[in-house]
Amino acid sequence: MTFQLIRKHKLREEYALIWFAASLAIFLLSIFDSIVAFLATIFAVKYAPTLILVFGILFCVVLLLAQTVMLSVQANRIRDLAQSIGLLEWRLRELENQPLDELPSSLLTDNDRPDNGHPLTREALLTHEVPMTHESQIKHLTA
Amino acid sequence: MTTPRPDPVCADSLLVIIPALNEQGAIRQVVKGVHVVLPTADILVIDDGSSDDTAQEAQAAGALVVRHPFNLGIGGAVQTGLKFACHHHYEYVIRMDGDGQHDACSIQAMLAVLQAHQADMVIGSRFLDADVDWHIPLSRRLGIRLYALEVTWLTGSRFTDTTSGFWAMNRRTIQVLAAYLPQDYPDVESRIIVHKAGLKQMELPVHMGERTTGVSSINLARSIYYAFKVTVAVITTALKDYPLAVLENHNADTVRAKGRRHPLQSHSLAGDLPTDP
Repeated sequence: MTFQLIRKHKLREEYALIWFAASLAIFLLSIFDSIVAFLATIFAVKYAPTLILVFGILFCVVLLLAQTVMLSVQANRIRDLAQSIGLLEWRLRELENQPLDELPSSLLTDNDRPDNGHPLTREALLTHEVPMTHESQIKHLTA
Repeated sequence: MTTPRPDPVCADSLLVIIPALNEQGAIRQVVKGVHVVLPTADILVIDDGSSDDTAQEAQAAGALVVRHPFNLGIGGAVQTGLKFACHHHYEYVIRMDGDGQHDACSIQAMLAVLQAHQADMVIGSRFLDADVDWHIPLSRRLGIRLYALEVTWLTGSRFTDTTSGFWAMNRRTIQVLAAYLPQDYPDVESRIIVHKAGLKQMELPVHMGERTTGVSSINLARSIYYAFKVTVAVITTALKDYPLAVLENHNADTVRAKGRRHPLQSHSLAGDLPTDP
């Protein structure tokens, strides 16, 4: 199952590892059921299968927490991306509407200026400044 | 189309940011109202994924318009405006609502207080002089009182209207909030962030009219749930750290991000930093 998901690019390897480990653990426990009995005596649990449930739930809770953290990180990144898109789009519109020599100087930050000191062409500024996706590049060329 | 911007290094450069969501009926009046009072200020409308003609209306009225590809919430919209201000080196920022309930005539008084008292942030308050000129529903007034008490308790200074979205900010506050403004309840939480950043904030009594059109983003039916969520958000905000070292790093335009970025360093401003190594 995990193999299939990875093969079809639906699961990234970094997350697959934990599922491999989990399935391996279940596999081992079902083959060597003496492990459960052994663990039960260590933890002084009377009914051994309870131990499997407890560890199962613990595993799920930890996994959920980890996923919520990842989700939050990604939500922040998505917000930043959306804001950048808005600001970049504004900048692009501004650049397309105005000739370059009338550009407010603040639009040219130090990062924009090539080191060789040649005056920027409009094309150079556009391609340098706006990292375009494939689609938007096509749109831009046809516009 | 877009208005030409004055020299951004000018000491008094002022940006008015107006977050707007589906405000096509009111936004034109708001922008024009600000323009009449402050003809030299730049007006930036952040269209937070509206489904109507908010962006077109704002642009027609002479505002600069930044559009979000989808809805980010009021905090996300204001933050975009603050990032814009940061990047273009505006000295002062006014934040007001796009529904017409904030009176542009109060802006000059707020700026005057900002400068006269060396405050970093001035907030327009509806309740400071107890002169409430429109009827606020009881449940909302209770909520507002609750947040005011919470914030007063957490910051140790008295606040009367923590849900006010009418702010005046100087450069330092712009930088702090551009980095840390929360997405969902920015009005209440920003008080605590500004306080924790060691900045001085003041309230100023202002008049607020009733909204002219549109629907408030706060749904009264869910106000208890809302109150609870805000309370949790306020407390967690108070527990977080807001390191300023990160900001200084960010604000130097030439400094590139080195190594792994701190997850709270929430900005890859247009063209400022490489998005990925």
